[in-house]
Amino acid sequence: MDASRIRRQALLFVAVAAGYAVASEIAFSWFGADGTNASFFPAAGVTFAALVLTRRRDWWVVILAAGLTEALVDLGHDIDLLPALGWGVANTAQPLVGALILTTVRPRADISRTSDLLAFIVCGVVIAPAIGGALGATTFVALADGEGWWRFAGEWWVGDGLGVLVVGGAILALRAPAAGVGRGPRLPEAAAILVAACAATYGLFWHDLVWLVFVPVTLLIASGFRVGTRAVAVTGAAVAFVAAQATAGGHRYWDTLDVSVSQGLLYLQVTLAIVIISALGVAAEVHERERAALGWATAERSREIADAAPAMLWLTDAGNRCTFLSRGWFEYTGQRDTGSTDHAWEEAVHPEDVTDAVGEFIAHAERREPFSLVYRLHRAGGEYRWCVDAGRPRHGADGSFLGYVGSVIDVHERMAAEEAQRESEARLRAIFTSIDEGYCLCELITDADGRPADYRFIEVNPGFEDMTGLRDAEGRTALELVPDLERSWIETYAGIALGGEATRFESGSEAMGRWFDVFATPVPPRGRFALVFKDITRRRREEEALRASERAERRARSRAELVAQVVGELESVDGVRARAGRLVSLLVPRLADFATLTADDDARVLAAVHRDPDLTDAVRALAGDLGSPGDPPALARLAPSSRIVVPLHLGGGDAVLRLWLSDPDRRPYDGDDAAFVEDLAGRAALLLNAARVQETERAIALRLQRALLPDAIAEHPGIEVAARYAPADDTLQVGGDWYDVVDLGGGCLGVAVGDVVGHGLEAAADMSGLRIALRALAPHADGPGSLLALLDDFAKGPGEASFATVAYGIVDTDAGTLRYATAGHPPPIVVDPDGHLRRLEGGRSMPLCALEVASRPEDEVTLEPGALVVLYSDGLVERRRRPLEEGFLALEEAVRAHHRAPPAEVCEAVMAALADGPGRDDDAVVLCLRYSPVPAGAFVRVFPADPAELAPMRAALRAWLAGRDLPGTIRTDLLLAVGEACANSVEHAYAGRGPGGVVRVAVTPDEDGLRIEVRDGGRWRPPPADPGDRGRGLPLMRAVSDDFTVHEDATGTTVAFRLAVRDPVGA
Amino acid sequence: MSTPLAAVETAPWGPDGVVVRVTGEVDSSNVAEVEARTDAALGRAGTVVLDLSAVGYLDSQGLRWLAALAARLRSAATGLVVVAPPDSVAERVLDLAGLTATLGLRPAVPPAPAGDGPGSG
Repeated sequence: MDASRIRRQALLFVAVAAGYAVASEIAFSWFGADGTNASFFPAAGVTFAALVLTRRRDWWVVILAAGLTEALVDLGHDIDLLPALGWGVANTAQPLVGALILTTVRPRADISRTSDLLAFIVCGVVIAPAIGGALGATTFVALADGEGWWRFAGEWWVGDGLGVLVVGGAILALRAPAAGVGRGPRLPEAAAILVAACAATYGLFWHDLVWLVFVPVTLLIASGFRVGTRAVAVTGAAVAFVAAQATAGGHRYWDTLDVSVSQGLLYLQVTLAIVIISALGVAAEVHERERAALGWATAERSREIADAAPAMLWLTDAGNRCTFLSRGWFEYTGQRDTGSTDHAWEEAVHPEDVTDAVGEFIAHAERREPFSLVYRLHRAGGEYRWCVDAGRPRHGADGSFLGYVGSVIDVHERMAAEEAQRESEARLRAIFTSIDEGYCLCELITDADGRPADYRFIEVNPGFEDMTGLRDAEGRTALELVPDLERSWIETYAGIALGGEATRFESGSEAMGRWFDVFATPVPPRGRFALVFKDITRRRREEEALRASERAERRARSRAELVAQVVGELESVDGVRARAGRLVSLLVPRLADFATLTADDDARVLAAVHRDPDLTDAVRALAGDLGSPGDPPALARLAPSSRIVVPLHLGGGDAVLRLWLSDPDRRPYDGDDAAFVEDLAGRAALLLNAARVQETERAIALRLQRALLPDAIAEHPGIEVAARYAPADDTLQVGGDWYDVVDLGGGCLGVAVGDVVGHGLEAAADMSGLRIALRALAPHADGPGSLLALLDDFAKGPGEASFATVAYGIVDTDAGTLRYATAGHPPPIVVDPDGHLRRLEGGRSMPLCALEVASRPEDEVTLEPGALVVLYSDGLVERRRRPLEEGFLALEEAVRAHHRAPPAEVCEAVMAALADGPGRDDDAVVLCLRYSPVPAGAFVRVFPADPAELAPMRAALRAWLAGRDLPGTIRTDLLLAVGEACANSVEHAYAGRGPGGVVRVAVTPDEDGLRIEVRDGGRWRPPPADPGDRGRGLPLMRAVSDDFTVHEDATGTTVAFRLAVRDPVGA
Repeated sequence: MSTPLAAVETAPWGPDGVVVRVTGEVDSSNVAEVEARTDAALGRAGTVVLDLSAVGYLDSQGLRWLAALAARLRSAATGLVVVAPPDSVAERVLDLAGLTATLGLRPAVPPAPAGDGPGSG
């Protein structure tokens, strides 16, 4: 027990004892005429009120004080000890029982409330005095030897009842609102009523002004109406005291009536009680109505709710003093309602929280704004529990500030639960927040048929609004918020909510204009589902944009590749037509389903392709008709859906590239496509143009080459010569390689192979100049060395070949020698008849150039009959990525392998072995000659393959025959057979080949007669269906000859036969 | 201009005949010319005497010409007499080609038919 409590209890003891003593002493003056009982006993009200207003733990102080005082007062009034103790017990038991019942029924009785007033009257005014009366009467009869238990008990009951009503009510009324709720303090009015009522009572009793009897009654009622419970109680008490004093003083109002004293007293007390109770009832009713009108205690009105939930209400006045704490509060806190509500509140709040709570309250109160405090409140039983205390200002009808009304709610459980929930929610929310997603809990709504129709948002998180743009979604349905929402959403969620599985998907809502990444999961109960989702609209748009840009990039890349491919492939082929074909083939089907390229105002079709090879002919036919105005009818059959027409500017007449689409699944051309095709066509036009120029140039160059290289190699009876020229394989350009054969007369033949550095027309021109110079100078030179020296001078001349190589040799058929010299040229080769091969590496000197050359040496080798001489240019042996020596060895191997074959055949073989195949970027020449001196007595003639040369050949043969002793028929047959063979060679072997071929005829006598060989460089026509010409020629030859053979090979045709010379006939 | 390889001369033969005498050589270079000249000389002759005695050379092209000429004259009911003496070039060639029997070679130009021609009778 702490000091403050002892102090408080001591104070309580003194106060109760003093009050009781005064009230009791007053009552003694009002004792009945017989001196046995008091008509009005205020002390009963003191005890009762003291008990009601204090905590039960302090009641013993009140009882002790009251009991002792009663006993002492009684003893002081010469009452025996036993009766004194008895009445002491009666006077303490009486309020104890009454207060016990009242505080149990109404823990904090407020007599300004009708129900509390009723409880107060029943407990304090009816029951308690009854008990006291019973105990008092028993004491009176048993201990004081009195008589009349019923009368004594009745008088006790009335007197104490009035005492409790008047004094107890007045004391309890102090706890009620000072004035009517919502009304200002009306002390002057209350005082005036009090004075008036007492004055009227005085007048009534002392001066027998009976008509004044209604005045106190009226004033008490008016006080109840106008001022309030407290005023009624005080006024009632005052009136009762005055009346009691008057009665005790002999001024009995009933003296005018014919009643006994006891009856009169009874009437008086009952009348006072009724009047005061009525007035208190009026006041309470007024209070109730005012409360109801103000509506401040909605929770309070419903006692069940207020009692079930720990609703704790409070009021403060304008001075921020707590004027009211509801019973709920006292019940909760276990505090006793002592009237000092301010004190009670501060005492109940946790010491650690009270300073802050008070400070916050004052801070808000200064601004008169609503507030909400959270603090721990002491609960009956000892623990502190978290409470929320919310207050809002009250204002009078005139707007004046009246203080605060507030309520306190125990949120301890909720806070604990919330704390737990907050923790789990915080975890959940932390996840949602960290991934920046929206969350909602939804409930599926089905229509009358049970089909999913909508869904309601039960709960949403803050992210929900950010993600959806939907405000205040909780409690509303999806279709309410988004009336056009696609049904697919509802169906999807219905599937999940009605037994589906958690699903994650991305979907867009046109109605919402957003894309969402949604994780949806069913949650119990059935029909509910939760969504965690994210607005991915931006991402989707970015992805879309990215995809679009990727598409564009892919397209650009594939187009760039196409351009590169077009350029590359067009460059890889030569000729306008080839390039045009390649171009169109590359565009179909990539850019078009079919396409044409026409030139010269559509008069010439360069290319036409359809992706379906079966339709290419139709496209070609279409292309042929494009020249006529309007679309050709053939076009409609190809069902084009879209087209691009682009002109190509070619130097020699414009061309038109047309692309069509016919596949309905393909995207029609747009401006972008057209621009690309135009660009592509521009590039292709350059290449086509280049091809056209190149074609023209090549045509000129080829013509030039044909003119520059010898049409025919000078033939010599003792020498067979053949040469081949192979252009470089990358282009068909004319190179600088050349060869020539010059008949020097006197059985000598000059052979030359040269190479002018460079390609194309310029090199060809240089080569031409050099060749002409050699031809012109050769007959005048003493030998190969001196000829090269002469050519040096030629090379120094302005505008002539600046750098060239030459191999030059002179075959002397009579001497059987080869004199040769080389200027920077690969060495010639000689193969003896036995196959022995020599490289002629003597007579070497620098290439022909502008430099001064000291000397041009030459060398000489002997040729055996049948020896093969090979001259060639470096283009034959030089290859990229191959040592030069390997080239020489390959050449020598090819030559050795074919050295017995006719020279033309050797040339072919060498070219086939070395010049064919890839990697040769230079042109090449090979010249072969066989030294085959004409045997003595033989006829050899080489003549151009020209019909006009046939007669001179026959003339020469006749001349040869003239010197021989041969039968006449032999002469005729020989002429006929040789003439026929030569005519065949001239007419057929070279048919369509232009000039250049030669025919070689050899007639060699031997022991048996004549051996004839006619050889050309061509191929005879295949046996014709009409055997007319050849049909006559061959039988003639066969008829006159023996061993007739025709041998055809790559190098030409050889006819060989024999004419037997028997005994001369008719010689 | 060099000397032509072959020459074609014509002379009347009988009342409506003509003697066409070819001299020189006939080969692929001049057979077309010989053919043209011969055709020109034939006119509307009733009989053609083709004298090849002086032909120094005749090859398969010449044979083609002769065969074609003979066929044409026969279909026109024109008589054809080919003159090629033994051991002549023409006789040898026609013999080799198996045409001697067909053409009915004469060793010399036969006398013109009596009565009709000058000097006859």
